[in-house]
Amino acid sequence: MNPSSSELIDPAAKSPARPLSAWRRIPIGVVLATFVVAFLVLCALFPTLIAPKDPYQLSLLHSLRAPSPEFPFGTDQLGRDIFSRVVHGASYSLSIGIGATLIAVTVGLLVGLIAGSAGGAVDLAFMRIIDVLLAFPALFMSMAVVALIGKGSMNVLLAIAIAEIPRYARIVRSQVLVVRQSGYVEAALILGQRRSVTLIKHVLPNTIGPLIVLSTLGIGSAILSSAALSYLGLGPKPPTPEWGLMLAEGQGYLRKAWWIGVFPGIFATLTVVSTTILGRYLKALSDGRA
Amino acid sequence: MHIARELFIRILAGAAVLWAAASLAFAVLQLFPSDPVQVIYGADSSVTPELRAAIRADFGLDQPVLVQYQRFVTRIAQGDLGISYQQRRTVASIIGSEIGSTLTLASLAVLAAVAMAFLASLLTAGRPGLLRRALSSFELLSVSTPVLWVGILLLTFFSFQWQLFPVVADAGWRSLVLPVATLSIAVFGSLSQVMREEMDRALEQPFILTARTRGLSEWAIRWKHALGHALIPAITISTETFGGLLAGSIVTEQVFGRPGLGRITLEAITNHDIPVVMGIVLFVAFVFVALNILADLLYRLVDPRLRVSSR
Amino acid sequence: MSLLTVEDLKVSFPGTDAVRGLSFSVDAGQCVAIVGESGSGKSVTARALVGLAGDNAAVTAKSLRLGEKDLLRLSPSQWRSVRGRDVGFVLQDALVSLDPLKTIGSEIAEALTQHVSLPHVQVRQKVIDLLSSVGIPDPQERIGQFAHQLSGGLRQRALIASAIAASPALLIADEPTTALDVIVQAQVLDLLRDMKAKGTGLILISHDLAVVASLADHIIVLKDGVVVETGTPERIFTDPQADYTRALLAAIPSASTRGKKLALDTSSQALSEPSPRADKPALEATSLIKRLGKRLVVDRVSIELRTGETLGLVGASGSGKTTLARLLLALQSPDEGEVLLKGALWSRLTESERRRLRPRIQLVSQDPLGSFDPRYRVIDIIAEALELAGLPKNAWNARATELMAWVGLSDQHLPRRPRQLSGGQRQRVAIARALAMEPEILICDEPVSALDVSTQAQVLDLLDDLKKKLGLTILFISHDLGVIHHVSDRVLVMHAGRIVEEGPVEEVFANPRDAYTRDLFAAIPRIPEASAFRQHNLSRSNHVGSDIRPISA
Repeated sequence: MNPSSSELIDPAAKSPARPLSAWRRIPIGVVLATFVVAFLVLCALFPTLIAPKDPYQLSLLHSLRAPSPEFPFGTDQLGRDIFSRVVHGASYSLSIGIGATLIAVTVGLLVGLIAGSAGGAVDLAFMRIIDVLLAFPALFMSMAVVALIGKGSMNVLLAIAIAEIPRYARIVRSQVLVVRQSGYVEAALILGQRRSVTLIKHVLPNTIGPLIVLSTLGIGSAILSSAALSYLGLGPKPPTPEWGLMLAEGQGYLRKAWWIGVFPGIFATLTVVSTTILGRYLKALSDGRA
Repeated sequence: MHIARELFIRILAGAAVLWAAASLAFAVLQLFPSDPVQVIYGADSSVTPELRAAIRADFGLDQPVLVQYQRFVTRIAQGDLGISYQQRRTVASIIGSEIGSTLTLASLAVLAAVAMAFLASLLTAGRPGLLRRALSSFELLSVSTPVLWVGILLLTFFSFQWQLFPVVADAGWRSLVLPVATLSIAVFGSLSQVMREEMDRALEQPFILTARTRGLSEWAIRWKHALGHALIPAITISTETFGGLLAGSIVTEQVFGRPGLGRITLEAITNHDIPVVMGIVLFVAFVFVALNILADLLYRLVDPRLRVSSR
Repeated sequence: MSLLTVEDLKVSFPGTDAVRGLSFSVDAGQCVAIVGESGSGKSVTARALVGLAGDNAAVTAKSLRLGEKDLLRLSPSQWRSVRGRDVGFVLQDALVSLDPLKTIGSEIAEALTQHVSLPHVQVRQKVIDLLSSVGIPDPQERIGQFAHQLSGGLRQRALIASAIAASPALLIADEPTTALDVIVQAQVLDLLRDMKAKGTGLILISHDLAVVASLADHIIVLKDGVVVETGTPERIFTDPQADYTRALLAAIPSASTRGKKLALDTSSQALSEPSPRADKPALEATSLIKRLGKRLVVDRVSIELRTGETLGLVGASGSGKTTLARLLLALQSPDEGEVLLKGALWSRLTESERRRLRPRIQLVSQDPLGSFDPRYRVIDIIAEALELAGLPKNAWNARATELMAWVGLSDQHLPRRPRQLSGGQRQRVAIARALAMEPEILICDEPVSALDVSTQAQVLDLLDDLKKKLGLTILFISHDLGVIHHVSDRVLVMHAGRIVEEGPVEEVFANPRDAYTRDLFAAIPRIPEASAFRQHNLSRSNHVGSDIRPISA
């Protein structure tokens, strides 16, 4: 018997690099979600390219028109083109979703890293505060923050970020603890590595990886929060074409014009579904499941 | 006896969390001071300095911060949440008059969602197929769709277009159907995903194989063995969402024009009625702590490994 | 007539053939053992015999008969009436093979009431009877307990009780003792022997030839789904025909393999005796104490690791071996006592003082994969060590190549990810990383216990070669007495945190002084010598017990 013959029978080890077949294996849903996100980014960056009509243009002559070739999504109670407003609204949702998540992840990472690597009393103090903050539902937290700092898009962004910080901080902290006690950090210490160096070489990268994946999923929930806050009148003021606000403004006309309530919602849902699909796919990739 | 002691410790810890939450809220309010005079009289400048001082003294705002804090904590400990700037009623009575409506909505929604999620997991866990894929897609939609839009869609079609359910909020049980459906759809998605994942995992465990080797039917295996393992996440999520819904059903209440905790929260926030906001914050924290303790007790009931070892 | 007849059984999954033609039969009171390494198809066979090979498995056979029943023609509901009633099934590790949310009483009752309808009161009594029949003390009390509340041996007995609840004529046991300590393993094997004596037909699945040796009437050796050898234990142990069986037998480390290579291809020539030792101990520990709460995990342990020797440390799980290893590596500090490295301070140094000494003492652990950063390729793993060993960057490539060659790998493995490697290859990478530090002492903590016998043999041979080539001093920790006997010059036996036995390996194994050590050694499953078979045949009982229900058509 050859010494390593039984060890070499490992199909995974033999597989060569194959970029082409790897592409083919990406699920159709992920491909579609990528296109949707690309389209939304396009809407956010160059809205007039896709919807040349002015989203603020009032026209009482054309109010409450049903969808038609001229107004693909119809018009609202003030005769504004809903398609144009929905397309222009992408920039609000995307920037709040991404902005709030970035802030929340960054602060959460810092807090979690400090708590997880300091340990002891620092960790205990941080975690107790986080426990207390987690006692409040995220939407409620955001509302309380808005109550303190006032309404408006920028404040909504901040409020959502603040409400999400404790969640990210907790995840980061527990991941830091897992990695710190992992076999590979111990192995590095046995080799004579400094603990501070293992923090940078092993703990940080193995914490940030999963966090990036999670934050992709977080963008979706931030967008949902922003739509809810706007709907409640705590976000941008009318006539801003924000999806949640459009739904709130149009609610009184649903009896006569169903399209007012439908299209902004479709865009919001598509955005969240797509970022969620992409986030889950990234998570599956990083877990080695895809 | 063990359980009683554990429970006592848990309640103490919960009280500590509440105290910390109250202190935190108090500290935040010192950073963002609010003026009851402004709330009551608006921007009216005719308020004399004497009246202003009297109103502030009425709310104890003329005292040093430490004295205010001391009074605040004592008050809270006695269950007194203070008095609304605007309505001149106790915050406790405001919450008390609105909580019933919210409780009904939240409990019905959670019950419906748990029942649907159980059924969905029993039917689809460990079984690839069309039904499972359809349900997964529905769950993805349910967690990705803004709750308010679901409400608006239901309202548009079921109330306005087809007139199956009333638009108004005070038409008995029929006016509860759409709000409950709205909320339970949202809760169902996250609950069902996690429960099925847990049941999938349970079905791959050796003890399931052991049960099969005893000749148990597929249904008996799911019902008697796998389901129990999906209960833990079901407890976690349903208590968590139930707490969340008390304040979080605000959007649904707004869409359907229902009274409830959400409405008074929104009013208090828009009007800067800080005592009410604080009162609700503390109430929500209290419910969260209580539900957490309840969840812990339920875990022990479901999973013997979490009970104190009595070997 | 046979209980079970299997003729040309084939099981295939999409893309692979797991079992490729297996024939045997089992009589009442007879034990057939199916032995093979992982991937041999032995567990798939066991599951196929109860119709549980899985939805995507294709099971075919010329004939598959259980008594009067043709198993190939059973409907799903007929299968259910066979499982548990005609065939009982025992899996490995009752902690996960019994539902953790159910009491053992209700698990056993479930197996009972599935096939026999009994009034409630009688069910309870029957369960109690079953518990005592498998040797569980205080059955009235145990009936309400959960698997996690029982010791490993007791819960394995409970699992067996649930398998035999409906008095099946045939019992299939898939690795029934693998998760157990040696002494408990011997007791569970005794229980199975009792059942065989009472007339139950037994199919025993194991990776370990020595475990089945005392129980089997007939042994089938499987490799990659093919039968490589079949016969009585006597013939297989004394006169193995297939190369694979010979390799497998030779690969089992034991007293008789000392100083020999285990993997057969490099022939079994005796190697030179261990090198002479210097006087100063490489590592020395004096009355180490480590507490966990009130419990003493390590209790006044003194150790002397002499330069150039291999010191074996053996003990059951939970005996404190791993904690001791961590104390010696100064990953934890002892509550009392101290560790000296080459007579100089070690455990009492601060971590920053110790850091420059760390390369001298390295670890090879049971779980190499867990000791690699999941983002790293093999080359990154080695490079981290080379950097810390202070090697200039331009010399890394050459050194990495050399290290790979030392551990029997090649340059081609460097860009691989550890996940793509086999268990043996991963352990080789871990050894290469340790050697990169040019250590004097290697602490091997269960380095082969996660590996198949033949891979284990290769890794043990490798460690032996490296030791001679590099003059290493090794502390070898294992629960496996055979492995310890094979590798060690001297041996320590650890029990409940204390060293209960110490001495040269031959002396300790030949003449253990401590009571626990004697029990431990008595329980080691052994492959009998040729002369033992005559007696074995005489004592083999074949009477059929009356409580076994015949299989009805």
